Order: sequence, then C-alpha cells, then structure tokens
Amino acid sequence: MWEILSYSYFQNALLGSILAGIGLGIVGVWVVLLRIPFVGVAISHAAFAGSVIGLLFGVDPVLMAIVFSLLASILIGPIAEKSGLEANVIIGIIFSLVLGIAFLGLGLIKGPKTEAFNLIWGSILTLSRVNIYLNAGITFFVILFLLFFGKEIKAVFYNREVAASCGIPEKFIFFSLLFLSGFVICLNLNTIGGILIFSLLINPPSAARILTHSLSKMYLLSILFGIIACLSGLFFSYVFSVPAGATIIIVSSLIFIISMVLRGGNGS
Amino acid sequence: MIKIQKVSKSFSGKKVLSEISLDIKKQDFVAIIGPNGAGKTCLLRIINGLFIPDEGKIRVFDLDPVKNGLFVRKKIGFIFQNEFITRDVPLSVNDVVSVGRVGVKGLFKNLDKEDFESVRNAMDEVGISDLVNRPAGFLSGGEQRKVSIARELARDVEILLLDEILMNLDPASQMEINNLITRIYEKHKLTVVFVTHLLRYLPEGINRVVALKNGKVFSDFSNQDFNSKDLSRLYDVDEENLKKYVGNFKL
Repeated sequence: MWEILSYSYFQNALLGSILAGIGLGIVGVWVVLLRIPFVGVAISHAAFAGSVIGLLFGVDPVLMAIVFSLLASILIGPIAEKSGLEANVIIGIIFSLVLGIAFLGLGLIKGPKTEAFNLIWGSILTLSRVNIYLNAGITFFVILFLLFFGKEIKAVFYNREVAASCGIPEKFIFFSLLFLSGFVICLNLNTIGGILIFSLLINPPSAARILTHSLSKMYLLSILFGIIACLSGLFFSYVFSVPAGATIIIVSSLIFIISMVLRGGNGS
Repeated sequence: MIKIQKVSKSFSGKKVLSEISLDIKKQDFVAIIGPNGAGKTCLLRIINGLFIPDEGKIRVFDLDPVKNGLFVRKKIGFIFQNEFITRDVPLSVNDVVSVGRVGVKGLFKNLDKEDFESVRNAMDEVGISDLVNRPAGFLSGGEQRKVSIARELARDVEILLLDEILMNLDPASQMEINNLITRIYEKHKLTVVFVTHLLRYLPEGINRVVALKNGKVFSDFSNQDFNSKDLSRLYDVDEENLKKYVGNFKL
C-alpha cells in the first residue's frame, strides 16, 4: 500500500488535501460566521461560467475560471454595500447570473465541453504541481491575513456596525474576507469540485462551532476536521476505488454528526 | 464639543433631518426624545460619521467626522439599539469588551498588557468581572447591555452616544443601566447623548432634553422643565391620555 506514496500524482493529491483542509477550514469559519454559506456555490459556478466562456473564445478555461470567480468574489461586498441589500441576496443574484452565462455558453460551444465540467466535479488525483504551488500560496496568504488582522476580523464577526463605530476599517476587512474566501474556493475547485466544495466549506467549521465557544479553537478544529475529511476521502477513494470528492463530503458530514452527538444537541 | 449646523439628511427622497442645528457642550448629558422617525438615530450616526450629511456642517472635536472618521470614532463611544450578540458567534465577554481596544490600538499591533488592563478595569467598573469567560451570546439582555457599556469604557472615549439602550430590558435592568450611565458620566466627565422613548425613566444625571420632530429641533429644554402640554404637541397625542403613560413629567 505504501508504494502509492512514491507516485507524484498521489503526493500532489496528499498535499492538495492538506492545503484544502487548511485553506477551506479557515475561510469556512469566515463564511459560517458571516452567515454567507452560499458564497461557495456562487463562486464555484462563476468559475464554471468562466471556463465555459474560455472554451467558447479559445482562451485558457482554467485562467478564465479564476478570473470569473475572483470577479464574483470582488463584486459581492461593494454591490451589497451600494444596494443596501444583504450579502446573501447579492450572492443569489450573482449565482443566477453566472449560471445563465454558463448555460448560454454551453449552448454555443460546438466541441467537447469536458474541461468546463471538470471544475464542477473536481479531480483530486489529477492535481498538478502548479495547482499545489498556487494552493500553498493562497493558503499561506490567508494564514498571514488572519495573523495580521485577527483582532479586526473578530470585531467584524461580532458586529460590523460596532466595529465601524470603534474606528476599525470594517469595510476593508469584510471585503477582504469575501475576496480571500472566493480565492481559496476558486483554487480548490480542482481538488474537490464546484458542487461538493460547499460541504467542505461548511461542515468542518460548523462541527467546530458546535464543540467550542472559542474562536481560536474553532479555527483549529475546523482546519483539523477539514484535513481529516480530505485525507480520509483520499484513503477510501484509493482503497475502495470510489470517487474521492464524494467520500470527502460524506466524511465531513459524519464529523458534523459526531460533533452534534458529542455536544449533546441542546445548543448550549 | 459637537457642533451641528443646518444639517439635512434624506433617505429615498424622505427628509429624515431637516436643517437641524444643535450645539452640545463638553459634559452635557443630553436626552434626545421624539416620535419614531423624528431623526434621533440618524442624528447619532451623523455625529460619529457613519452617515454623511446631504447639507450642512458638523464638527466633532473641531473635526469633520466624515473626513476624519477613523480618528473621531476612536473618541466616540456608540451603543446601538439592536446590537445584542447572537449565539452563533463564538466570542466570550472578554473578547467582546476587547473589541473596544481594537480600534484604539490600530492595525498591525496586537493588544498588549495595557489594553487588557483597560478591559479588566472596564469590566470591574460595570460589574461584569465574574462573566469574563462566559460566551457573550448566552447572556441576558441586561448583562449584554453591560458588556456593551464596558466595551465603550475600555476605549477611553470622551463622547458616549446611546441609542435606546433600555429597550427590551426589564424595569430592574433599566434602573440599573440608568444608574450605571449616570455614575460613568460623573466619574469620567463624559459628554453623553442618550436617545430614549422611556420619558419616565431618564437617568438622574441628565441636564438637558432635546426633542426632535420631523427632523427638526422641536424644543430644547436646557433651561426649563417640559410639561405635558409640550409633550402632547411633540407626540400629537391628547394631553390627558399622554399623562397616563408618562405621568406628570418634569426634568
């Protein structure tokens, strides 16, 4: 069994799993505490729309996926601010828009469309070194952001208006959290896929929240649960020849259920 | 300390503040009263630069709070009407009170010994030291209000803006918070602006009552008691009926 570790594709999958667990574990806490869980779905479908448009116009679909998803994550905050609507509503509008663009593009593409769908399903065993470097880069940056702005982020979680009234640049922090969440989600689409990433974004931090009232412990548990879900998904996928993405989600959901049972389920 | 000159502010075509002028001096303890929609909350938000006036001029510490927002807000405490802490945010009382020091400290600097001492002193003064490690979202309404007050005290502010902070509290908690605010006002020599609907239960320290109506100053009771006739005109309610609610009110 251990010889599998000598294969570079498996090493990449292993590293990708750990990076996804860390990156999504951190931004998952942000997304859950900002109450914008559907940001994952909107960003992943923006990436899908980007790749479809890339294929349509003969531009690199992965590059276009990154451009589209970053654009979506940059726009959510300012549009919410300008319109006076909740970020969740804007996420819904962006989601429907990118879905419309994606389906329009799919209808217009004459050739194969497999590359666009790859981002929706993901394929952890085909991660390249470039993927790993990009994921490592953004994960490192997210950790740095958390270290530098941890106290401001905490204030924004507590109450955005109070944070602003305390002289904290809450808009910069809020927009940065949205943008970085979008970036991490986008770069992890290859690992787990656009549809399944939603669970990896939500389950680990939610399980962590059930188990602790401390924000720092929530971050650590969320990262730990994310890594456990990814690695066990990879393991089961190898041993039983089942799809890795789906297994990762089932494990992360099991972690959530176990946390609820451990907590006792009274919500206190 | 706070100079408001002919300030107007509209939302979706509706004028919420209409050429309002008000001069609040250092150590004034002002109650702002008036009907719903009179512009009370809007006025507080304009004072600390969260809203930008459409017209007019505002100066706080001789500075424009919009252009110098981050700086001015560091010296203005603000407790919002609906800022109760929800249970889903995993923050302790200590975390929440520490938020007060975050803006004071500025970016790229961790809270240090001095900050934590301010936090501890504020909690001692408000009487919530025993709650320090409790999850803030699980506290009662009265306890949460005290946490908010401690947060602003920890900031070492000079002006305190309080927006209907007695709402949703039982009578005992209302009395306790009123007494606490008066004590803090006297001890720290603050300038306090206290928006309220509870006319019968104004804190003892209040030395001025400003009534707003339709976005204008209806009356400024700096040097006179206001009586049920004034209140009747302020709220457009029959005087006798109003008396049943607020009693024979005198400042």
